[in-house]
Amino acid sequence: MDPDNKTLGPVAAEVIEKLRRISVATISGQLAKHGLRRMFMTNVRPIRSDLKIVGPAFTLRYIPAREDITIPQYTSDPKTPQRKTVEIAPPGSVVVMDCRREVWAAGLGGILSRRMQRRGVEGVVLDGGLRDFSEVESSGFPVFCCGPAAPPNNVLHHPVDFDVPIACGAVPVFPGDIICGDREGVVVIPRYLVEEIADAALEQEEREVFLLEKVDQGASIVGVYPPSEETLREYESWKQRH
Amino acid sequence: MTKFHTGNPEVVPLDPQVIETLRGVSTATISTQLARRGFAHPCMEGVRPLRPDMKVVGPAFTLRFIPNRPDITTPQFGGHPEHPQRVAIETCPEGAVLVVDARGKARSGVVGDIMCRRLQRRGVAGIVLDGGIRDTRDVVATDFPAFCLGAVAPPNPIEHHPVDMNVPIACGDTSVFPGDIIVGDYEGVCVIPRYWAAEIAEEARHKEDVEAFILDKVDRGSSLIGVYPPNEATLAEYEEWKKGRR
Repeated sequence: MDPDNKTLGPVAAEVIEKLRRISVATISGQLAKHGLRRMFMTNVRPIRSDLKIVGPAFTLRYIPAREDITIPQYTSDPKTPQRKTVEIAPPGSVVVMDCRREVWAAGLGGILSRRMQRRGVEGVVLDGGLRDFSEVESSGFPVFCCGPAAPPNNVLHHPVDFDVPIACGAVPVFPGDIICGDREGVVVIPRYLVEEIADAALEQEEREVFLLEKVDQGASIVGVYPPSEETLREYESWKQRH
Repeated sequence: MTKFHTGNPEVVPLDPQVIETLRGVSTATISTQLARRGFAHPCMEGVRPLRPDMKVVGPAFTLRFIPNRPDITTPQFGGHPEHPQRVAIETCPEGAVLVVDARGKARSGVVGDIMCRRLQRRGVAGIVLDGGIRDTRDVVATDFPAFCLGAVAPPNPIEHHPVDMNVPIACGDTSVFPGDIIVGDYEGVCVIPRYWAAEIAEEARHKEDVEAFILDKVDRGSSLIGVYPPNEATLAEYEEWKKGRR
């Protein structure tokens, strides 16, 4: 049935480290080779272009707020899925929020962001708005969202559950999938493919350093990108020297 | 997995008469009642009946989709006995309305003729979803009340992956909690919080009765001033009219 990410266990720290060195662009290309053509979130961007995140997804799901029940007594209750998520998302995880791509109010604000940052959460990804934008921006906490939005969360969203499969930026996210974000946006790697993708992507990026060098030296694209047999042989000997 | 929501914490019993009353009133009247109680979105956005005369009333039983993933949204998955959509179709109670969260995407048909036929044979009141429906010719021919964004050809695995059922969902940009009362007609679909269903049904019935009287007055040449909205005098006249009708 659904991918049982928990059976596969946590991703090794060195794999996470590898992914930190790889761009979301390369990862997206590698996923496409596995037939996964749409794992890059639509309209979800870092609040600062230098931000980078890598970590397993911890999910939170919102549905539209309902005026009679999405009231302060509910939203501030420590038992709401949103408050629980903030308090229990594991250190190193990426909190991913399903905001249904609604951007006219915030899905997240400054104080909850700060709490997650202090708890060692890797970052937050949401297909909604962020309030207290400047404050979060200067805190250095990596948030990837659709942009700033001033109105509070509870005018738009009602949290219903966490640690369940969700949609975010038109991409499916299962708890434990690996989330990677950089200045271009956010991509989701199915848990079972992580090790394979990390190695293939690292290899691809190394090869591209060589190819860029050749283009800089005046080589045409033909036979270089994509590399011909001969170019690949050249690359192998280049690799020995580097 | 933890569930915590205050929509219908324990689904309160509902007098079957409330469903009957709601069958006799329009979504226009109901949405006014909901708007008066502060609801900004009393109706789903864009969700329409496949045929204008379709009407559906019943408690919501929900099904939730997320975007598909080609490596897992496979034909084998589609045939799996635990596939949430199959399970929903086999367990949605008699008289309930199956409400599906399709995230407003209508490039594929969430259900087709066979799924609808099975729901109909099981006594399900109807289906409501913010996505497409396929094989609509058959669905319409069998009079199964079906409400959606439109008729579309492709099958749902091209865009959807079912994940769970009987959880709170979004449908047509409106929240739906299992057990909420769904009312659909020509103009769309209303979601009535369950604990308000009896009260709203009664108010809606009364309001439509007053409106029948007002229409009658307008037909007889009355101006709208003092009549719509009705002032004290008009309401007193209505009470007399009502007595005369009995």
